[in-house]
Amino acid sequence: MKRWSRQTTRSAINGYAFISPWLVGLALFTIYPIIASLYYSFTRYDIVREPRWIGLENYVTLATQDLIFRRVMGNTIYLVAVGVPAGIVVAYLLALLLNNEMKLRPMFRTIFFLPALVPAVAAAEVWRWVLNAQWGLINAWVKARGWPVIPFLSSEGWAKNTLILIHCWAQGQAMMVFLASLQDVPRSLYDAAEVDGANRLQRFWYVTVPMTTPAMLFLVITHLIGMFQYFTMGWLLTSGGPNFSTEFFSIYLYRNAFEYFKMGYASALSWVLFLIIMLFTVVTFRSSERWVYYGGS
Amino acid sequence: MTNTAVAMTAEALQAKRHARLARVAGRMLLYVTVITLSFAFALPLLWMFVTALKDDPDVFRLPPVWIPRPIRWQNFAEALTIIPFGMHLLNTLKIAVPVVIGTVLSCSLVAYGFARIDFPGRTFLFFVCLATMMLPFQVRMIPLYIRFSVMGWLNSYRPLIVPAFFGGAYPIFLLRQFFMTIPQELSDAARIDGCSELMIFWRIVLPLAKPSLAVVGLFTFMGSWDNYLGPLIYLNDAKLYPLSVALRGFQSEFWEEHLWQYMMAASATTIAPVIVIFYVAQRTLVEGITVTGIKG
Amino acid sequence: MSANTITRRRLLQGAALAGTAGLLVACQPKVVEKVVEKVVKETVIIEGTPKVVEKVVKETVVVEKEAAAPAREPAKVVWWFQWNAPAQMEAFSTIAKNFGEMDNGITVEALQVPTMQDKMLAAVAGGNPPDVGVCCIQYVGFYVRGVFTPLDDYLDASEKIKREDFVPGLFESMVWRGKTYGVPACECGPRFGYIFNIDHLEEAGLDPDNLPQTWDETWDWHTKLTKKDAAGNLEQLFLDPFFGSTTAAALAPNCASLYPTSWGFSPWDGDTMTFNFDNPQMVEAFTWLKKMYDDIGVEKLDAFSQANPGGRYVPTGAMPAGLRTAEFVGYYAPGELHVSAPDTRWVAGWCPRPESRRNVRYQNVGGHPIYIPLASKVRDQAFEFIEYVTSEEAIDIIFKATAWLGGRKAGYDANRPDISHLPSLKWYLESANTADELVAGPVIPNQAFATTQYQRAVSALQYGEKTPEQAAVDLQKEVTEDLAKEFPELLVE
Repeated sequence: MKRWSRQTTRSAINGYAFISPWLVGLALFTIYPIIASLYYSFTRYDIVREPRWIGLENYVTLATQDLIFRRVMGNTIYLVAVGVPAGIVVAYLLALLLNNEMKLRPMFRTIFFLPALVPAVAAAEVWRWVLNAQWGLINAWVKARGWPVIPFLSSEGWAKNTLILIHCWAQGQAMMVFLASLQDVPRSLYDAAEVDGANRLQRFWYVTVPMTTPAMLFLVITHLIGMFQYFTMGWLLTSGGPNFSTEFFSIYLYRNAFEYFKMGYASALSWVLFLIIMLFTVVTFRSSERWVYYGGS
Repeated sequence: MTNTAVAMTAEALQAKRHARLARVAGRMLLYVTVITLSFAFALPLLWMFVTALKDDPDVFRLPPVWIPRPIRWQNFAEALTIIPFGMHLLNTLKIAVPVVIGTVLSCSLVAYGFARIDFPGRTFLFFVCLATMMLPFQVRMIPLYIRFSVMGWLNSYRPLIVPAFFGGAYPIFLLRQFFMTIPQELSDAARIDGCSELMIFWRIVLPLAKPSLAVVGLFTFMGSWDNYLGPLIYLNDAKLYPLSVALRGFQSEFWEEHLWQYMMAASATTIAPVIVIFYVAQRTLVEGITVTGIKG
Repeated sequence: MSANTITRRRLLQGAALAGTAGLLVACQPKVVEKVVEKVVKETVIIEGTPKVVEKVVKETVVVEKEAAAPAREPAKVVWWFQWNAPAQMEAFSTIAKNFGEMDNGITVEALQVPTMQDKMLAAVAGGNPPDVGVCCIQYVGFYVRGVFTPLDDYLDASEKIKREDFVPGLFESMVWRGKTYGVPACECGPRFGYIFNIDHLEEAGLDPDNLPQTWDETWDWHTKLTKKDAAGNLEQLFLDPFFGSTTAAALAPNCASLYPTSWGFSPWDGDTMTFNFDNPQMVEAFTWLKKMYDDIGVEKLDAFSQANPGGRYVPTGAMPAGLRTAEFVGYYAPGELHVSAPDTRWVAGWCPRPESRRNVRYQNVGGHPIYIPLASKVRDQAFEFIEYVTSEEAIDIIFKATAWLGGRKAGYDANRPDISHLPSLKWYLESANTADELVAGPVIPNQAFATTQYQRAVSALQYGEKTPEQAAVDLQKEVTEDLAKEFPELLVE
């Protein structure tokens, strides 16, 4: 334990002063819904009537009886395990590509960012046209060659991967974060590395990568959180099908909360999700001490 | 001696030529890759735009038609008059502009606290901050609604705007990551010069973090522009609906008429300003470096 | 949400345009409270053009005036609905406006809500729901939780709404434990029809006047009309018997369940509060479905359905595009198909039965309830507004805009001239009057869960994960357990 000094006191005052807006927001808006949902998870709560305390029953049900939950878990874990790395790698590669000096760079950056701007409803429709099994852009070409069409959204095997593919395509925001981070790599480090005789690949590996690790940490964590809660595009494109192969955590949760009137059970589901995400986040943060490099420290 | 010199010059020349060739090939490869990928990424917008210009029967023709005939520019005008577009656009801006200002202000302060000041309880509180993102909105929505209802804030923009002035986990985390990369020596030097933390934040860190502030502002703007569920449940007056809610009218399951062209026209119109903002914002981002020459 | 809320689509825009004047206005109740200004529409056919123009003639109709009602405080009734096509919204705002102009001290504030279930739940939880609502929520879920006002006293006292004026089955689907929670409104109509593309039938040498009456005959027609290429891809499909039909996959108060009805049982018994899925008839139905889906091939079917998106009302849909022959579908289909495939001829008939019930022709007229949340402070005025929304005048306004039928028997006249261009719709109206069995939609407390499980059971059959026997047993067990868990109070009583 550190010794409490005047310095510590000053830091404490300053620190809490700076984060005070967030603390006030937490007290006013954020903490109540969180506590409330924790309470609901131990109740039978249908939103319209008062919650009734049932102890651990919701948790017992989802652990022992809910067969769909197991399928949902499997689907979600696949989505996270494949989708998170895939999305981040794609975003990184795009950022590197667009960090090159080139003509019309602002235009190209804008184009690559577009998928993030198109409202999900419109984007879903576009993908339906592109991936359509009969005359979609891809399958029309495939068919013309006499090959069997690819059931992008209509087979259990393909549906999840197709959604991941679409996720990778809409990485505009992550790409921007990486681009902003690449701007922060000091020119002098590259010069120094060049003087030391490092080649391009070495300069990339020993200078670029470490300097962008803070952004990477941010994206790994937010992508983990985002993918565990993946909802909109799946709801719009497959709504859980075919044969529930794209029934993900948030979709199942939504059904329970708003269609089945089981807000209590949905709350229990989301607290399980919360713990899983928290576990991943803590592990990632712990490991980050080894792989994230902050130029500032 | 002369021979070797000549040979060396020739070798050097050849090497130089190779290097230039490699560079040209590299540039070629770069442009080919970027242009090819551009098509894949521009496709949705292209399709949106093409559909927006289509005549009724063309919208659903198989195989899909890429060049509408006739081109119906009036779809745009019609789409924007079916719903009171101007009113909804103004509503969206009434929400989005204060939300961006509030978010950038509050989150940069909070992120500074988490990134640059080593205060007791920092790690724990930072995890609490992250944790607030980990519970899906679906289960937080009802208690939050009840809270705003009790406060008498329903049917106003307050539930959508006010929380933005009290920080949000995602932008705080993003800004924290960027603030962490700014060399600590800069702050230390300023402290020795007698600067307060607020002055360091305002004079040193914020100017250096311009690119990341632009990114956060942009993302926040996009988020607010797109937000559907919040306005849907908080607002009970169609005159207050922002575009995100009003535009759902074009894609309802109850539409039997072929109005995809209108939805696409309206969507294209709504994202156009965001594209412009993005274009400008990412220029700021590039300028950010050239002007400050960060930490060179 | 959309999977479980049966929503009704707009139909026959053509009919709406060609509608002749005042058909329903003519059947107005004889006694009206006051002097009203009526808008009578005359149809003028302009020579040489197919266009029909409506000329509005205003005339004042003086009717018996009852003693003036005691003066009341002015009140505002907030009305939420989900339907949002321009014609629908226009009809609804006309209704709100007309009612507001009636000099009864009540103004109506209408709000179109894009996704009602989420908003209604939040509003009820927050204690500020609207005064009147219609479409599209899980109705029974709200009935059983006591969110809505029981309307029986209002209905008994009402001069304007008499239960016997409504098509049988409609009110029954809005009753929970003896109390009525809604009045059939806006969109109602026959749900069970079997509609065919006549060109396909003639091409295959089948007789459009002699449609398949049983499931076995349906199978025969399937073998004759479903065409595949060498690789097994579907080139033409006769029928997607479950997932291709919102009617067939439904298990809702506003749309009864096709397969159980066909096999002559109800999936839910409201008296004993029990489900009835685990029976030989359900197994028979599942067996038939499995046979169909096995023959079509599940992935081929998905690919086919995706390739022809948009349902009946856009030209790319499998039916209008001429790629699928038949569908189990409600009364809105003829109008939709008339718009999306104006040159194709359609014929409608009774949905199939098992051989043992060959002669039992069944129908379900389903519809949406209009309801008053209990939290409303102006319930009397809200009911007065409901009386207007469900009046023949309002039904006529909605019909003209959307061609929805409404709940009153008067509209179910197969000879009404405004539908004469749609012979298959004529069949639907006739069927409501001639069916041997007219069933009501089941009022199942855990309706959304039961519907999902029901659909999941068929999905498991489709993917070969369960046998029909297993599917029926599991389904019964799942929905019963869920009911016991969610509504323990029902089982105690």
